[in-house]
Amino acid sequence: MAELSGQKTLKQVVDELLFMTGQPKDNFMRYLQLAIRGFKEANILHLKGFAKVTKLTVSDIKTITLPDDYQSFVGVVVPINGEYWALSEKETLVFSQSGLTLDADDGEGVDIKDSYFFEYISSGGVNKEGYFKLEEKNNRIIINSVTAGSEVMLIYVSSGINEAGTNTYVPDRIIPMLHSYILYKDAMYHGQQYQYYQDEYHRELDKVKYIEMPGLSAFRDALYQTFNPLPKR
Amino acid sequence: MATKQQHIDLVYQNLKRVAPGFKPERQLVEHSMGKAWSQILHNAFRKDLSFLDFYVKDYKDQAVSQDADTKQYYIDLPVAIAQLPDKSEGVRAVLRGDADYSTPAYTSTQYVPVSDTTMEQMDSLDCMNAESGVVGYAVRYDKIMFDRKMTAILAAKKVHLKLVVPFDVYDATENIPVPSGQGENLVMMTIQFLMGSNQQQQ
Repeated sequence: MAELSGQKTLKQVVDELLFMTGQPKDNFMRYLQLAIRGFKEANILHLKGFAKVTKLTVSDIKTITLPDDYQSFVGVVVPINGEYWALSEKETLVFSQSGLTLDADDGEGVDIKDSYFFEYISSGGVNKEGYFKLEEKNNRIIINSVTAGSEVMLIYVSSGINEAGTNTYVPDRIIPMLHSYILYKDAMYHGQQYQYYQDEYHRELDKVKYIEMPGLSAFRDALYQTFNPLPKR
Repeated sequence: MATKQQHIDLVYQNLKRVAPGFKPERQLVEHSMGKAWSQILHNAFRKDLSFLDFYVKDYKDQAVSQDADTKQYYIDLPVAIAQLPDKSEGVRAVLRGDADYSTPAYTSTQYVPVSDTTMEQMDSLDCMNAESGVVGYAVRYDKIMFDRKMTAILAAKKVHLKLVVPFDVYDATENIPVPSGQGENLVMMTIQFLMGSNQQQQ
């Protein structure tokens, strides 16, 4: 017989909780909403492997539109030699006042200059791949020093929830954490003594964090990256 | 287990001893026994309604209709249902009409109880979109209303209802389940209701 699936639907997560606690089906929809909230929170804060990369075309006014499942920002990047190179965030970018066109006379959308050279003691540098400014209120990111019509990659944390009415799958390893999250929030919203459930949630969360921690090889690689081949004294 | 007629006969027998000469009409006895039975059921299961499965009657192949104005799907209940202290009242389960228990996925569509108010509140929430195959239903005294996850395809498959029905829905020859140890109480409560109405008549 095949092994049981390592992925479960949110429906199964809630069914399992109702079954184990002997609660009636009346609570199903409320618990499903709490499970979704808990899963979103875990995606943003605790789980690896839920960041998504999507290719987006820079518009005529040098913006990219955030995807529907966007939850939080990781980076705007371009691929160079098999690795993503990140654009730098700059709050001072000049953007279109009209929101429709760019007026170069007012400095709108003008590429940041490669460098200002006064004398050899001048400090500073530029990111030759470009800059961006996050503008979540308008559901977009302003891009600079990248030609309109070209493509950049957006790395972001997805909600992880399939909104098209299909099933949403969650890893089996986080289900005890989701169950304790549901019970903790349920007790809290009902004005019950929730301290016990809160503690239980944090115990389960610690287990998930432990699993998601970088391995020894990742720490070793980070250390090796600081080495160079020069003779050591 | 005794039939409905046997329960009623038992009341008449006891009345001969308790109130000689008092012979109420059968309809009045049935009505009083219905009230007593509902109260016993309510008291016995108010803490854990899951034990009510024993009292459930099956109503298969129930047609799902659609309101012409609101486009909301609904079912006209085939019989009256018992009132119980939770959202689903006497509707203990709604299942797909074509459910096949020999396959593991027979529960691929789940009908879950919600209140009318909740149905309105959750309409724009993620729980309405995140999962396929979960349909909410709200119970009214004569109808079951479905949320917008009910589709024409699902409706065409009809539904299987598991209902707890009131005492008067049972036929005279049908066995009436009574919570264990409550048989004597059922007769005594019925007589109390009858004596009360008898005093009012006098």
